[in-house]
Amino acid sequence: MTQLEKFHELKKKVLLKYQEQYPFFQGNWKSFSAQDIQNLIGLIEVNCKQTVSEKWIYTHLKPEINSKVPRKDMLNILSKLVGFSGWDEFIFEDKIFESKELKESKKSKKMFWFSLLILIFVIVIAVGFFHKKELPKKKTIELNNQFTNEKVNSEEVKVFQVEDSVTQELEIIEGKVQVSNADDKKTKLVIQSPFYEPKTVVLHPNQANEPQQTIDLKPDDYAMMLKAFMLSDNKDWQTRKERLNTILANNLEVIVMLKNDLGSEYFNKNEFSQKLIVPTSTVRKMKIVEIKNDANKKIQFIRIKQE
Amino acid sequence: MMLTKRFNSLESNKNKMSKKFLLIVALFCGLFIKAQEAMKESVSVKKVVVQSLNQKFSAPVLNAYQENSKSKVDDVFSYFQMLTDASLTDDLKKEVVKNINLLYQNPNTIVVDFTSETFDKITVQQFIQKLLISEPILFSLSEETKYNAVDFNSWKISYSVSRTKSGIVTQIKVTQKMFFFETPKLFGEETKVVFSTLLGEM
Repeated sequence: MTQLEKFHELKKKVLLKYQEQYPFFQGNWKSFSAQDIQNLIGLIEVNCKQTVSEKWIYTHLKPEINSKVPRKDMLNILSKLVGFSGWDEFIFEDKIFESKELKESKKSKKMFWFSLLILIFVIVIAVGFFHKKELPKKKTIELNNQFTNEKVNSEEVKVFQVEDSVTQELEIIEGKVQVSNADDKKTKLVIQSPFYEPKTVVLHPNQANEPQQTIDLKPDDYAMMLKAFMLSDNKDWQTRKERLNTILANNLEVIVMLKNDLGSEYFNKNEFSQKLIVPTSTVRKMKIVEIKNDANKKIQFIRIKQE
Repeated sequence: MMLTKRFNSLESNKNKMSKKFLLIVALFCGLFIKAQEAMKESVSVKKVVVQSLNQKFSAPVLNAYQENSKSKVDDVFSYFQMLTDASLTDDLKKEVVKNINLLYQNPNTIVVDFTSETFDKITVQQFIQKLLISEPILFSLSEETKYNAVDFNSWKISYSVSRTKSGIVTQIKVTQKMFFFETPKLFGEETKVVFSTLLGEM
């Protein structure tokens, strides 16, 4: 309730108080006569020991509609007349009532939001439950070296999942890949590596329930030998020299990709073999990314990335 | 009548002469223009040849090749050190020498004699011989490297060498030429023209 509305309420109470003293008055503020005003001034003087002018009553009490609230000292006088300590107490009662109402409304609001939250939560749970059925089934596949039965080095192998002619490279973590198969369709895995023979594996939907599967990769002996030679020291260099002559094709082409693929350097069989016979730290930092063999399985092409 | 005839024959001779002269002049002019064009062409060919590596390659690409040339310097000093290593066999050292020669553009390239205390300049072959009979020497190269003086087939690389000989460490600043050019290379029976980076004089 606004202050102005409170003032109108006070005016009603003042009128009732006046009627208590002058019961013959049965009208309202509009019919409040000059004599009634004098009587009211007298009543205020007796009860409140304060004086209110005739003009003030004409200005503030007589009109049916008030545009503004009168001064607080005058409001205090009228409030005292109707049994309150002052204007503050008069409006305070109402505030208590209002705050009670407010509390109740807040409580109901809280209840509303709480119910809404519960409803949302229930909906989310329900949607999650039904949606879970449609989530792609994930299967872990371990990639092993066929001979040593050890997990492959994640950096040396690439796995591509081919589904409906869409190819996606899978991330290999600690020699394992996560394969998702949402629609229970046939999935093809294409495995490529410079150190293992290429392999294509078709995963059937009925294999989906198997929690883990292993794919064995057959190492390319020459490529593995080459990797070992690049990391070796000066020992046993004569054997290395002989082997290099055997495993590398005479028309070998080695491309060393420079930093950020901004250039390349070419080596022939003699130059590359010499580098590996006496390996330096530069050779040990090289990383083979591609190997191609000729018809005799000899290494004919090597692509190296400079670290 | 006779005079008129003689005059006519003289006139016709004169006309023939001037026609021949004009033909010669026209031919000469044609040849001159062709020669000018040929000269222009040869000048433009020369311009292509003298194009510096800075103009030929973008800065990042040239920098990638320059940084790659530092790995050649690292390798050659590893090989130099191996030649002074008493634990390595002579046969292995022969392989090391082969590797050193593969890195140089010219077997008689002038290098710093790191076996001497005066750091004289000698050929790489002489230096190899001195290393083979030297006491063990350890070489360590600075990470900080500068590249400058880029021309049409080379640049200069500046680095610092730390030599440890008889327990005494000596720092030497070196500026070395690095060659970078297209050269035919044999891959089996097939020859391909590829870029090669080779070490030059110090």
